Amino acid sequence: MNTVLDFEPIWSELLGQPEAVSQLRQAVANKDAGLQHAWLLTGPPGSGRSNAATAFAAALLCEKAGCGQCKSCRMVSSGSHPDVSVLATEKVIISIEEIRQLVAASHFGGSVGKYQIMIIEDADRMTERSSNVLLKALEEPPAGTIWLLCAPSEADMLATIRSRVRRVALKQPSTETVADLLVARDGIERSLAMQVAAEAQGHIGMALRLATSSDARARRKETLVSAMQIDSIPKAMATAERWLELAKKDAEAITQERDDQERADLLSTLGIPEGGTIPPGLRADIKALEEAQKRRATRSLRDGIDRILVDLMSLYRDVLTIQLAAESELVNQDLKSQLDEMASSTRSTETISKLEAMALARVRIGANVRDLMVLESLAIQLRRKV
Amino acid sequence: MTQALYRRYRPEAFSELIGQSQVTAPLMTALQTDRVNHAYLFSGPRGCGKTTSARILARCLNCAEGPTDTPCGKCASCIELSRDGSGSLDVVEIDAASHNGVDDARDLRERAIFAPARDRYKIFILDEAHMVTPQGFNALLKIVEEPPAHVKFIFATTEPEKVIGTIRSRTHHYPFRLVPPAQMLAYLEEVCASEKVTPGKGVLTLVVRAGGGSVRDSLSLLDQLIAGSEVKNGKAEIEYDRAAALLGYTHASLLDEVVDAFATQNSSLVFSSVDKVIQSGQDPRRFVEDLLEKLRDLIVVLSVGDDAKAVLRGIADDELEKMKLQAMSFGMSELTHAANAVSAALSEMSGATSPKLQLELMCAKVLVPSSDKTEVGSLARIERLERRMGVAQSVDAPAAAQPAASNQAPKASAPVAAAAQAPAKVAPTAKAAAPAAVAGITTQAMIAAWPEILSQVKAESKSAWVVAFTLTVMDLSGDVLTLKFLSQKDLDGFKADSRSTDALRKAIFAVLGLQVKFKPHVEAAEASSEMAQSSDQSHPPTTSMPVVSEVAKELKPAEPEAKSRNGMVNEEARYGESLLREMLGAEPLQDPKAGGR
Repeated sequence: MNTVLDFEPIWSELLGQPEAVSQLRQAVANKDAGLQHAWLLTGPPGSGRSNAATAFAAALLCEKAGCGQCKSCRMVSSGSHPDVSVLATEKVIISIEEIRQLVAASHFGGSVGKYQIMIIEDADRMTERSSNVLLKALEEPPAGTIWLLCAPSEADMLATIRSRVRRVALKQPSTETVADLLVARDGIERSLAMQVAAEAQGHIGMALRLATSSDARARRKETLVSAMQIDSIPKAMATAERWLELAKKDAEAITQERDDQERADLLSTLGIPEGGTIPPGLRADIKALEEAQKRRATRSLRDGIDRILVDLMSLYRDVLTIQLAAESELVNQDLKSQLDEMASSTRSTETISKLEAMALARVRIGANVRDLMVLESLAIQLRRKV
Repeated sequence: MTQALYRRYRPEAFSELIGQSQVTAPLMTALQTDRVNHAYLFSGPRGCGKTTSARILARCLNCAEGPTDTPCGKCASCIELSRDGSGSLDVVEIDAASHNGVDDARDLRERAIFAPARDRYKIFILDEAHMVTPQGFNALLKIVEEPPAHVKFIFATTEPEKVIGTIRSRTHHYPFRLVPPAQMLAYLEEVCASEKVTPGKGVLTLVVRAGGGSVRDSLSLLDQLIAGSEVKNGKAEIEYDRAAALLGYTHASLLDEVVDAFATQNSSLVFSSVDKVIQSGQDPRRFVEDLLEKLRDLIVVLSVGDDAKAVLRGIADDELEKMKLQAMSFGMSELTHAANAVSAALSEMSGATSPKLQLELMCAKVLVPSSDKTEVGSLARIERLERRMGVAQSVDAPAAAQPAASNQAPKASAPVAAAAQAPAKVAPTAKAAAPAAVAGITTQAMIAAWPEILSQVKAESKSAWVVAFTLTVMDLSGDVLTLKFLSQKDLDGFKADSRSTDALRKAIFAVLGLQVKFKPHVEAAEASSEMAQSSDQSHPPTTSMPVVSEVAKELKPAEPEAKSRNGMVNEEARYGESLLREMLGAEPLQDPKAGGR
């Protein structure tokens, strides 16, 4: 097997995944002898599934198996290659229409090279109906069409899809790997990098965000500290409200800038000066954009709440490890003293039921229960019994 | 460009289809005798040959020499409908998942009226028929009931119950089955031979197991293994280790490690194993599945004892012996509890939660049975208590372990009672058995259990509780428990009142199964001596657990105080039993051996 050093440059972003990369590289090297037509890339959030899919696509289309320099490679990386269709969604689900369009497109041959590559990011967001639409196209696509699906785990896909694809598993990168990447790529200070890498639990994107934004770090810490201080029902209510506020802020920080930019771009495309009135004929376009942004905001807020829940889970997981004397590495090393105090004043049974409450809260959020109510009921269950 | 194995090896005649004789035989007979129905429904799990059979049937019907049960393969229709063929105008394969509406059904109805272009029949294959809407099916009802003479319908689906009843009653329904392992193995060997690949010993068995009876799954996996195989002397070889790694099976040694760690309550070992699983990039779900399977095997071993060989086919003797020991170190209720927790985790495991967190939570639930509020959880706790008491008693009174164990459900009692004696055999090999559980109690665990201990002290004696309430646990090393007293006066009072010290010691023993020595610590002045405790080797945790009755007998003469100790232990056992009865509502079963107890 090759070592990391021998990898073509296109794989450089996939740190800490030597097994997956060698599997994909082997497929690229033997592409003339035959290539599997459908792949499923699985890995925990933040492990670089979509990056792996893009790199694989680039390597397939590149003449030198992924030089990272040629026109083809750069086009794939920037998302403008005509033979690579990416279906990524910022909504909560992938609609059946989107899949139908993609399936229709998959019947065209490659326009530049031999391959036509269809990537579905977040394939777990396909509803059962959408997945079924994909079945036939996935089983016997025309020659040259390659499907790459990305999902967190195999279990998220239908059994009928699973049996049609070849699976490539990405693993959760270790804390050190993520920290190394942050230090090398983004020039983050070593100690900070280690801290955020642990806090992000292997999620590279999240680690970067925590590392570069002190606001995000402060918000995270506030969430955790406030959870430990809940001791009465009124306090629980106040904390839940505060969490929602934090989630909104977190979401805004991500979307606000983009929203404004998109609006400005659209206005200038339509030839409307800044601050000018919008002619009635063009209002539909503006409205469509606003609706898309609103949908994105919904998902962004939901992601924010989910992040809070995941952070809280990591907190109680730490408490539990201390209680069980598991001697495993803590996620929230900087809160060690509070964690110790909490571990000694509560019992492991309570911690487990709190963790279960959080899992339930995540299910409820997924089922569209009103977010504040979910957080309130969670906060009440996290209350410390005095 | 070569295609995936499952596409290249798609059968082209009924005789090539494996494991579906219940379908192929009647179909072939129908073709021979020309009693072909106008509509068929093929159903069955993924990858067992539904679409393939539909295509073969179409080929048979439209063959120039047909209708025949074996297509000639030479006529225009047969060539067009072969694997590499272009497809025929008269055989329309429709992806019902994307053409599922009422409009598509109407369109199909109109097309059905036209006569075939060249061949005998116009055949419509509706694949993934479960996705057709009820409206769509209803629009088809009339044409499926009485189609023109030249039209045949074949529906293929994984979920026949989603096809409406009125359609099902108009079709002949053929259920397909998963392929049995032996047949699959033979087939995979054939494929390997024609692909010129040499699989290592046991590789194909792994593939068959992972494929779960679906031909397409198995071929996909084999394909993946072939793609990763090394070519030696022009022949590709698949190595066992690599196959096991690629298919994501948990290594047996890792599974043993986790199970042993669960049995001995060694949480740090459990959590480090979880870390190993995550670091190796193995599918966490697979790990959970494997763990569940292992627990199931242990349950089988514990329930049927030596007959387990018949149930767990192909298991080696030493393996069975090892599993017996593992099963005994658990006990039935604890195993059930563990299996419950693992199975619950398996069904919850999906979505974007960090898999490590999920695994850790699962392990914590197994380790802390009280998190399970159902009966199984309480039973597991009782069993754990019993085991701890059994441990203590085996030093001086081995017989006492049996009545304690017989408090169990009658079925489980025999093996568990045997468990008390079993350690005799284990002693040299399985050092990590229960003693570690007792010796492994840390300060943290003591602190965590403190409230429970206090409540037990309270139940025993109010006055002892008043003293104990003011104490704080500082440290526990070995069996020396350092307690912080608020003042010298408290300490003196505590020392003077032997009843409260005993009550506290008993409570600690009942909760944690640990005989402790107290070491007082007063804020101002360091307290003088260790408080007196009975004899030195009377601490079961320090003597290793797998002590056998023989060993105990040897010890007795060497221990002058043994007699008085004995009385005390019996008293403790009685206390523990009364605790079981009162706190947990356990009822002793009639056991002749227990005698007057």
